Amino acid sequence: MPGAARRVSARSGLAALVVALLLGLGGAGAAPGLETDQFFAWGRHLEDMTEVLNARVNLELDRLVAELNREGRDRRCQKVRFRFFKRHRMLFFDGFETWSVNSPLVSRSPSGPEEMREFEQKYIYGGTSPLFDTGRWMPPSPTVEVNGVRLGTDKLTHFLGTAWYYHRWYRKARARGVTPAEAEDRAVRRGLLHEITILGRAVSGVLSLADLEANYEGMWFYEHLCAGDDPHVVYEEGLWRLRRPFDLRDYVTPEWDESYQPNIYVRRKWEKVKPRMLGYCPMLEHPQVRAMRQAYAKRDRVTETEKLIDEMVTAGKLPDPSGYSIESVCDEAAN
Amino acid sequence: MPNIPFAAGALALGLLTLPATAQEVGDDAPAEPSSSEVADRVRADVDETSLRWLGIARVRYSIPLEFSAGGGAILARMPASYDCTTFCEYRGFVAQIEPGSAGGQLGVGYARVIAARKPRSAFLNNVYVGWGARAVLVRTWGDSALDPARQTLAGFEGQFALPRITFNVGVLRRISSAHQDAERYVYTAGIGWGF
Repeated sequence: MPGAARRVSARSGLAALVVALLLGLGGAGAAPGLETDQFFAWGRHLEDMTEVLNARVNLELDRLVAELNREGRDRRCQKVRFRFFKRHRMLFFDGFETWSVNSPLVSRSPSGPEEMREFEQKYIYGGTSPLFDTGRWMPPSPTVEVNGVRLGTDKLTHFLGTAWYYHRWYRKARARGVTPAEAEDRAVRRGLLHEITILGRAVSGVLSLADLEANYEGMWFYEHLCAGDDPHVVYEEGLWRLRRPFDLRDYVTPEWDESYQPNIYVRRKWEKVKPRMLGYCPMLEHPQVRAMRQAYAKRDRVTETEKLIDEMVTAGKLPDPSGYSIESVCDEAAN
Repeated sequence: MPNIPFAAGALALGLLTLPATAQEVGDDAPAEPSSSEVADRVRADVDETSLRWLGIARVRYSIPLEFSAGGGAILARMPASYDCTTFCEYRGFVAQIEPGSAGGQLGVGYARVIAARKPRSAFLNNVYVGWGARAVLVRTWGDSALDPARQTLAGFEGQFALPRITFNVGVLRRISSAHQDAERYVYTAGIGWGF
């Protein structure tokens, strides 16, 4: 019965494909939902990794320049930007993040089997189901310290990976004759929409404002990579060269630390996260935590992302993130 | 087992001069290395690579194998210092054998997988995302839905994996003899877990 066998095969195959695609599409959004937990790193010593991470990025910029010089001709800046992005782009992750979570040169927390086991117990998202919480389908990003700011290594993916798309939106708007300020605003709003939907809140239940901050700063890194008054990479007298080394200090702010810049959670997630956050209230008195947060407060400023979030909160489109801060949680518990 | 050459161990020992793990506050900080030293160490860390192979496994339901379990290996080059307990990108040659209830498959090809392994594990324990393209040789048996039920096919399979799920599509061409009306091409699809 060749006809019958073919029909069975075709039907089953089609059904399997449809199911696979549906499930696949559902999961595709979850994939970039990397979470991070800076609370776990509280009270733990971390070496400042500014020099090391700068060296890693500058190594890639050096190699980009060498690659461009092998071709021996001028290139449009947008091509150069894309070439750099392509050098470290991976499947959903960024090469710099992959390196930073694996290299023995990078001081991070958690690190090593013992601390990893402790992290599994204390992870701020550990109260949720690893099966049904899509945010836990991907590996949590460890914390590193850059210029006195503690941040998840996922911020490297946001800063050098996701930000590429921000920059594309910015450039497209500029190409349509939009002013720089308006183009920036459009990129930031589109980024927020992505973080609210496929890249964040709708999938993992977490809207990370710190991720948005890294995306925003990364947009400017790409903009100034080879254009503007002070570019990193230039083409002069028939040669490409690294004119100005990359420095993370130009971009990282305390708002990249998710224990300082609170996330916005959906209710079901917050119910699981809040009790774990409460466990960190006594740590607010820890000398390292106090000193770090005081230093953060001195450097704190109102960022473009915060202005947009304030606007959304005022319009009733987002809850006030301050309600999810550690101070708010601890004050509420104390009263 | 992971294959990490002696050079990797030597590199790792060299790198121990820089801090790697978090410790309780209060430890003495080591002397700061200069910028050029840091750059040299970073360069060495990135450039010192090793070939490693790790086991891969999957279970799935597919046409024409129906229920099957596959085991194989992926061979990938990456910086020698990587421990991959959080995640790594494995990019390279993949080979897998996969017996099933209605047939068996042998596949070789190329894959890119972001995955983690447990310490001392020889297998990728957690596949986060990945894709692969394989040339496959399939022999069907038992109650296979194909006509004839027992035949040998060769073709290509594409696989895409996400957390908790993997799916594949492909096309096979019959290479064994069959009656005149038998279909020569079979389109395959499957869904399962693993890689």
